[in-house]
Amino acid sequence: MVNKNDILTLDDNKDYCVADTFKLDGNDYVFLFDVNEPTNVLYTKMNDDELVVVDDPEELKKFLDKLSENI
Amino acid sequence: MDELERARLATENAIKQVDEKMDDLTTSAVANISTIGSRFRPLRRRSLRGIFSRETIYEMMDEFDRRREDRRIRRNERQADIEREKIFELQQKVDLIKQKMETSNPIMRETYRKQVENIENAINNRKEDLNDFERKIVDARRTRETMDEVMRHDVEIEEDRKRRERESVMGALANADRRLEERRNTENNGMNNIPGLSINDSNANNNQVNSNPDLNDPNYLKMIAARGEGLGQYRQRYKILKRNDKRYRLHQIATGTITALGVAGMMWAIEKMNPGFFSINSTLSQDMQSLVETGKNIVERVMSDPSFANVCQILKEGSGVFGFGTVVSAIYGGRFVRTNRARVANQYEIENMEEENYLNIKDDTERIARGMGK
Repeated sequence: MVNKNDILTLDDNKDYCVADTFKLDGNDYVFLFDVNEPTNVLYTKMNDDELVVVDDPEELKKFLDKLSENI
Repeated sequence: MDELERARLATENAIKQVDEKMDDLTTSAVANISTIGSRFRPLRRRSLRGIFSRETIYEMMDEFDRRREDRRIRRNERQADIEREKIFELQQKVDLIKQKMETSNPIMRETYRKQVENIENAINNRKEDLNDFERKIVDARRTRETMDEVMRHDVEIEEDRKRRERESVMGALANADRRLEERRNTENNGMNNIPGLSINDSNANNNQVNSNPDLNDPNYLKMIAARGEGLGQYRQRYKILKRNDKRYRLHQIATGTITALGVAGMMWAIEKMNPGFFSINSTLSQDMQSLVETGKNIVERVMSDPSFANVCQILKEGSGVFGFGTVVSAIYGGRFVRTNRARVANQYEIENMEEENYLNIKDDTERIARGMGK
């Protein structure tokens, strides 16, 4: 599990900072931004050592909902 | 893996294969260097590869070969000149002896005749040697010309290969750009086709927008997920290569690396509650001022209504202008204010400020945090 403010180097050779992370419905969700391009953000969930982009509408709705609570 | 990613990977693989092939050629070329001429000190493969580029090594190899042939030509020419001189001297000797024969008695004439015969045999041998040297000169010159021709041909082949490779890479990139553009156009068209979600919706300009975007619409949410700055959002999976020891420090955020709009909005909010603190009109550049204005709008709206519906509305409208990621970053700017209040104050170098001002800023930032709903 990653922690907030952690910096991860992903396999696109970019450094990302964990802006937020939380557990929801048994999944670990991670919201990241590119350290060098802050407008490049990723909405992902952990799958072993992989980060999978969330694109399912229902799942994304819950993700945004949770993010909003944490603001 | 989508087509865009496949195209990029195919391009990278093609370039990698070319590089590997070049490495193989370099390895075999370097192995031959040590066999060339005693004039050049044999170099170990590892040291040579560490010093020179592939292209330089090839040029060195070609130069070694050319110089070898040039030396061969010069050596044989020298030998041929020596033989010609010797032949000339011997011929002169023969002529002298023949002159003597004319005025000699029969016994001496016979002796001179044998001398002439021996010398003429020596002349013939030297003439054969001269022919050998001249043949070697011709061969070396022909080899030299062939080398030049091969080099010219190699250069043409290399240039043709580079041209084809360049065209292939440019073609792949153009294809990738075209797909990216198509996808963006599809998203924009898709968003404009959804009722209430058009960024050109006149209601948006009148602030009477649909405050309840259809979050159940899969197209809307999917486009939100897919849209983002850069190509990062077009991949579906990312492997974590490394978890760095350091954590992202807040002062980096304040300098604008994460939330340009968020920080600008925060600065505006602090300036509003503590006028003169940032001397906003005199010290900020024009770009920063417009950022501050935009950040102000976002922060104000989030502070007035931090509900999820309003946040989504802000995302929708802001995304039409600044990009989804930027707007989200602006909203998150407020989050960092809430969680790191003291450090936010410190990073603006207010250590020398009077305590009263410092407390005002502290109160202001807490007020901002409360306004954000927390």
